[in-house]
Amino acid sequence: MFKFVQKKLHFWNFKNQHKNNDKDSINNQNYANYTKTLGENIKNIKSALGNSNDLIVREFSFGYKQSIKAALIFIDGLTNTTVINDNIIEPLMYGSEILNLEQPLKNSKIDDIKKAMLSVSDIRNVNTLNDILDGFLSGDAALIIDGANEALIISCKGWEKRAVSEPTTEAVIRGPREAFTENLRTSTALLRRKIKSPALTTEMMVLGKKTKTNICIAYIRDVANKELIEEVRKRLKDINTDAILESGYIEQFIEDAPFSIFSTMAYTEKPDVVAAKLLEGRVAIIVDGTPFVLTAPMFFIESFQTSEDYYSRTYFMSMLRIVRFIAYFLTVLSPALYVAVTTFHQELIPTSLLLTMAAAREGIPFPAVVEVGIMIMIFEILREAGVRLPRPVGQAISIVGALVVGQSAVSAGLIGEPVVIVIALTSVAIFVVPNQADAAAVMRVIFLILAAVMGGIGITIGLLATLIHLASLKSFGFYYLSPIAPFQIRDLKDTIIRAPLWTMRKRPSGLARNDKTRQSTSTPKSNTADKNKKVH
Amino acid sequence: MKKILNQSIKILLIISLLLTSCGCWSSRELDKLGIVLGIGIDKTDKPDEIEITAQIAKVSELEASSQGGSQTKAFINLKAKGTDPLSIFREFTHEISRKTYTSHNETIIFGKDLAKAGIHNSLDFFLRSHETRLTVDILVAKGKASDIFEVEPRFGKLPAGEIAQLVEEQGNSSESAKLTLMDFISQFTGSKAMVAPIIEVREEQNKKVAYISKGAVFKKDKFVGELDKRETRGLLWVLGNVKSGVIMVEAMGENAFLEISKSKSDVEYKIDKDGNILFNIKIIEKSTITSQTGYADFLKPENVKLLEKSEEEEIKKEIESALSKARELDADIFGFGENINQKDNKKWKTIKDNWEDQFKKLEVNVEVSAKIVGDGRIAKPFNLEKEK
Repeated sequence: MFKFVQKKLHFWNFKNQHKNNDKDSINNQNYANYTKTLGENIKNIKSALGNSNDLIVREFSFGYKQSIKAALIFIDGLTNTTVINDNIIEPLMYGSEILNLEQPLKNSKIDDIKKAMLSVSDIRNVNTLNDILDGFLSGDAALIIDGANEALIISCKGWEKRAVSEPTTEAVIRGPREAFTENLRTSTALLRRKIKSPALTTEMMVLGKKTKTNICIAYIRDVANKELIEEVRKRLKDINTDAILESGYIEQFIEDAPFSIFSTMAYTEKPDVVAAKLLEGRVAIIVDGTPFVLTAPMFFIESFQTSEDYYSRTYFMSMLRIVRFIAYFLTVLSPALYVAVTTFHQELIPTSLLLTMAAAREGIPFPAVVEVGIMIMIFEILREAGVRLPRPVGQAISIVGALVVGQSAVSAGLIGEPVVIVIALTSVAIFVVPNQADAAAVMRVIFLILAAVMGGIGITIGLLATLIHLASLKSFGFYYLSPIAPFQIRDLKDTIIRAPLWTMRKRPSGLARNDKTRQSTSTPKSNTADKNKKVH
Repeated sequence: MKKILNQSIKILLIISLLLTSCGCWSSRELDKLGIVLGIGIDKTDKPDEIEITAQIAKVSELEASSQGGSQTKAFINLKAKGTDPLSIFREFTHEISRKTYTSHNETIIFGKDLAKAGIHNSLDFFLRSHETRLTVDILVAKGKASDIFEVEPRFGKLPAGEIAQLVEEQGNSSESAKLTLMDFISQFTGSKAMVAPIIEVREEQNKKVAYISKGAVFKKDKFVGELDKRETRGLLWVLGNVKSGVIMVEAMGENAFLEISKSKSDVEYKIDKDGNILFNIKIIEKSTITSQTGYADFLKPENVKLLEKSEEEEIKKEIESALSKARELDADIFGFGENINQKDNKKWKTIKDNWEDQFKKLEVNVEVSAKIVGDGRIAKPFNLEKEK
């Protein structure tokens, strides 16, 4: 059945691609060509922007006897005014006489201006109107000189940006507290500070025909699998859309199984997590405008691993791993199990518990499945309201939610107490495995329906179908259930339990193709030797 | 495209059939169940007719108990007559609005009259039905089984649940045998006689309370006689089921009370030179001193030896009393026949038919080795000063 869905999906992709290709030619507007006349260029640029008033065209003259006319074009608010004033306009106006610039300007002179006059770190030569537009629309300044057949794009980006702050979605007790920001450069810098190896490579790419979003593929050259990098690059290039507003757009365009409940790409806002994943041989995709960085390929097991697992000692963290697995099963299965057990398999409940549960159900007007369904719905409403509501009304909502659902629904005889416990457990447990929260919420409802129709058999069928589906999933050519299926005994050290770091000598097999060894010693021998030494 | 459409229609059909046809046939909400906690079966005046008493939990009253105040009983005792249990259970549908649910039934109590006449006919249902459990306890009521369910529970609100718990806790004294439906049917075809606890009712401060008094010996499906507590423990020694309990022994003219902490039994089947069947029963027992009444110092090794000797005698007597009772009743409660069957199948086939005669003249040797392994928290007797 999944194969069928896959086939269908490919069919749709194919169809959509064709549609997009048709649109392509319509969308790519051809602007007027770059000319040598300054006035005409300015006119073309202004008309291309529809006379938007945040476009600033600063016309001035410089050179010998102010004979050369030029214009500096930039967008107000995207540029650093100090750089424009002190490093571009001032040297041109006051210092250009020494270069003996005069009209008509030779092309080599443009290079002289670039080399000797402008004290700015990054300058590019461009000669099409499209490139000029791209340049100043992304925050640089364009210097157009009358009579020259090339313009200069001078880097002077500077806009309001958020400072690096604590992650809001991934809190930790122990570990770094910085998170990526919306600014791509800040994000890559944070990453670079974690991994100082020259092998850390960042490839830039611009996606989205309208948004022209900067996207960065990051990987460690001597660790990551070359085929994987090539695959990521290829899939990104195949994206043909007009807007990339968040990394989620990219995820949905390039993921392996768009129709699956499970996501096959991981995301995080913590630089240390991305660094760890890069060091395992994964590839990160950083998108300008969002703090969430995608990593690929994703394994199912990754949802149960947190950065803290590796920062704290092994025993407690291994216990927490097991707790996370239990919590995941609870959150997916407990409503279904409750319904299956109370309506089909009452013999499984201990007698005294059965009597209490039966007493709690006394007088409840709905069947158990409806009861549970109502509670799941109420919880999802409360959760959604909790995310969206304006901060000042938060307290009111939480009081109403807790009182109405927890207390009044029970005392009014709409819901039995056991159901409240089941749903409370379910909704708390989901946040133990936040990466799987979306999938778990959907799965929970599917399992609930299966349990209501077929009881324990339904749950078994559901579990088997899920297992088969998970085993068939692939993420960028890697099996989703790896290292459990296909079974890799070496990598099991980091699955159900988290073995001590020094036992994980190798990077996950399959992922890293080149430099596979993390550390050479398997036991901290030097430490044990020290311990045996007598200290006087 | 057409192929895909066809395929998807097929899959939708399969799913919808799956969801509708397997149906909710066995789905029942908790508040539609009449949870049966105990079943009593009695004989009526008519032959082949039985009367079933089913104790059904009234769960709404159970909950009210936590708030206090309510005086109504938390159970309903339903009674109906008929020839077989299922038809009687269906008869109950005319009386209560909920379908009886027997998966949580923990006890089946047979009235003495029915037990004497044979319980085979009423047991068939409990084996065949998918809703009943094989771990259910079988008991025999001294009088009518229906009376047992009328007693006042000492704890909680449900007599049937309490009786099941009572049977469970008998291991502390090892003076009452426990018999589950599973044991009963697994031994039914063999030669072994089963022993089930007998439950009685007595008045106590105008309240009826239930207690376990004796053991009922079943030969095949018929009740043939009773074992008292001492005889029952004698049986349990041989079966290796004594895990705890108190023995009073006499040594140096004084009484000491020993708590059994461990026991092991080994039944050895032998044929002597003359071709007679011989059983050697070997009991290894360990116990601790829990109290004493006199002044003797049982800490001294020679005194401990005396105690152990006397304990061995006592255990031997218990076993022999059970043995003589079994011979008197002609009931092989020890399972000697099964023992021969397992170890010497050929021999068993020759003696199977007149096993009752063989059992009577069976030679049984009992050998007990008791060991006192502890003397409690105080080493010397509490009143050692007045030493004689």
